[in-house]
Amino acid sequence: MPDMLLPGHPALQADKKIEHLTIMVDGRPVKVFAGENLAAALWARGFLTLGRDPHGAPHGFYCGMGHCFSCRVTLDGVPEVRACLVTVSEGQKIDLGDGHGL
Amino acid sequence: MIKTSDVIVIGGGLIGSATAYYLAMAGFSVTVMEARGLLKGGTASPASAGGVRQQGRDPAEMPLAIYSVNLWSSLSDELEADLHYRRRGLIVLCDREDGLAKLERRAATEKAFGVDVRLIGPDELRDLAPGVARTMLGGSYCPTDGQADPILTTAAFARAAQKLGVRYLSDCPVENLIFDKGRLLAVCSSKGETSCERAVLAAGAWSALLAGRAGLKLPIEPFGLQMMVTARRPPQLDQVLSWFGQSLSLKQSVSGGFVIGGGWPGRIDPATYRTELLPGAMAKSARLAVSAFPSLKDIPVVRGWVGIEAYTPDHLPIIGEFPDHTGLILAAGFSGHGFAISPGVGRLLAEYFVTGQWPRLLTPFQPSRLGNAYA
Amino acid sequence: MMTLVDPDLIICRCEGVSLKELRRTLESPGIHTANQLKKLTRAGMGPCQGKTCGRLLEFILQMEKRAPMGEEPLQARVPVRGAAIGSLAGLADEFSEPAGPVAKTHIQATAPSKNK
Repeated sequence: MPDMLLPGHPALQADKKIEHLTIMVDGRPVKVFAGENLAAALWARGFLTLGRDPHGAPHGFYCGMGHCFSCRVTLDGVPEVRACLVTVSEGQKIDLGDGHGL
Repeated sequence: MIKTSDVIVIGGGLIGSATAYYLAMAGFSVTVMEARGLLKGGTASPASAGGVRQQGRDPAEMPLAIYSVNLWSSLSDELEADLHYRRRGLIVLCDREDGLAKLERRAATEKAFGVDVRLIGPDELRDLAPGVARTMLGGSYCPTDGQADPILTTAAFARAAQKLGVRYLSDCPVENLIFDKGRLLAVCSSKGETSCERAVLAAGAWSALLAGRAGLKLPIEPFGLQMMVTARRPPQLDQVLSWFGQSLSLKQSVSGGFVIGGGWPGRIDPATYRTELLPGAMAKSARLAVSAFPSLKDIPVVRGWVGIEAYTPDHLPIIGEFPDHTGLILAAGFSGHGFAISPGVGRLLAEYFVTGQWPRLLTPFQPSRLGNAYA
Repeated sequence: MMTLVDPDLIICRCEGVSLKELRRTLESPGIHTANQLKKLTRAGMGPCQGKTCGRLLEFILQMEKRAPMGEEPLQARVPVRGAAIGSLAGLADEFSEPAGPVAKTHIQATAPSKNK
């Protein structure tokens, strides 16, 4: 269980079955759960920096509501996708840093 | 009352700032009267596509364009500012055999002027610009064409001019020009009346209104040209691309975004400097862009803009003096393609002020060509 | 109040434009709109197109006594959010306006009259 994920929470239903999915991040397989928000999933698994600004400063999850574009990633070849607006699905291909890695 | 200068430049955009700079370099004291403020918006200077090209120009402009491209090669150094100038060539794409034949004839004319241009076939096209659609049969290619940033360039000329002592007055609209016996006497601005014997009118689409007040009817019409830019992408296109027979200009800027233009109209209101994008123009322009460069398909357009350009009946700028209005030099009406030639125009106008001889390269643009009324 | 703010503070997160850089741009005369700051520094030109920093630019102009907030906000433009070129292209036939590019329509509208 990745360190940043809460193992249990009063709001989570104890009888809910966890379905595991695999997404690819910069070419590496990453295990996530069905229903996870992509930005949250990346953050929980240690991908805090999702890109760099023109001066090289890192950017990542910020507003969480699709407003600031700080969480932008390339998803299945499409650039500038706001990860905070995406739910994970099997086989998604995420490229960080404008599609060319960090 | 403003202290007098040798020359008053009316209009603080690209042409005005460049002319002021070269005049100051030649030792003249200059005051620029800018109606609003540097790069305030709506005007042509910041809205340009930024192409620095010799290809595809009216033959009348060719020598001036070649002269200007030579100036561009050291302009960043001269102005001590990065203008994002890149000389990686321009390819005029062609997807029809009959088009290629026309391009070949045009290239021959351009070559006769001394432009380094040649026809290329599909294989060389793939080598030069691998992202271009396979439907393109080739085109004409000039390796000394290129691109630069119009905002950085306008700002650089304005700053360099000020460093040389040019007074750049903002919020200083010129309201009238006073002539006496056909000679310029004074310029009336919001700051009062300034005696002036020589002025350069470089107020773009607004030149006609001002000139009209002084009894000079200029055939200059405002028109809105629309542009779009995409999100930044890793570098994948070196050259500037245009499409023979279609309205497309495409380049990847130094910042990484793709700048798309090509002569699509936008809505304008010159009185308020307000502009409005036409979604239809964006869509049609986008369609051409994707047809020419398929990998653009998934890249988001983040912004569009419209510049108020000044068009003349023959789409050539009007540069020169008018009968019964001596002392006033017009430099306007660049009809959507003034960016590349702006350094040349500025420098040659300064040369005219020094020598009193009208530069040969500017001869085709004199007002007399427009008819008896201007002879 | 502005003296309490670190000049290296990033105002435009997308393009990495600092307060220091914005202040330096204000040293040129005649700069009193957010749109001018945007053109001269690229603040507001990034992926969020000024949604995050737009009001901050106005606030800075007010603090530096150039213009009151709200007088001339960053110009809002279509597309409101990034629209992929391919999807824009797909809409092309739905628009009757404009009839065509400028050169063609303009030449039709003002055929040059040779001698006045």
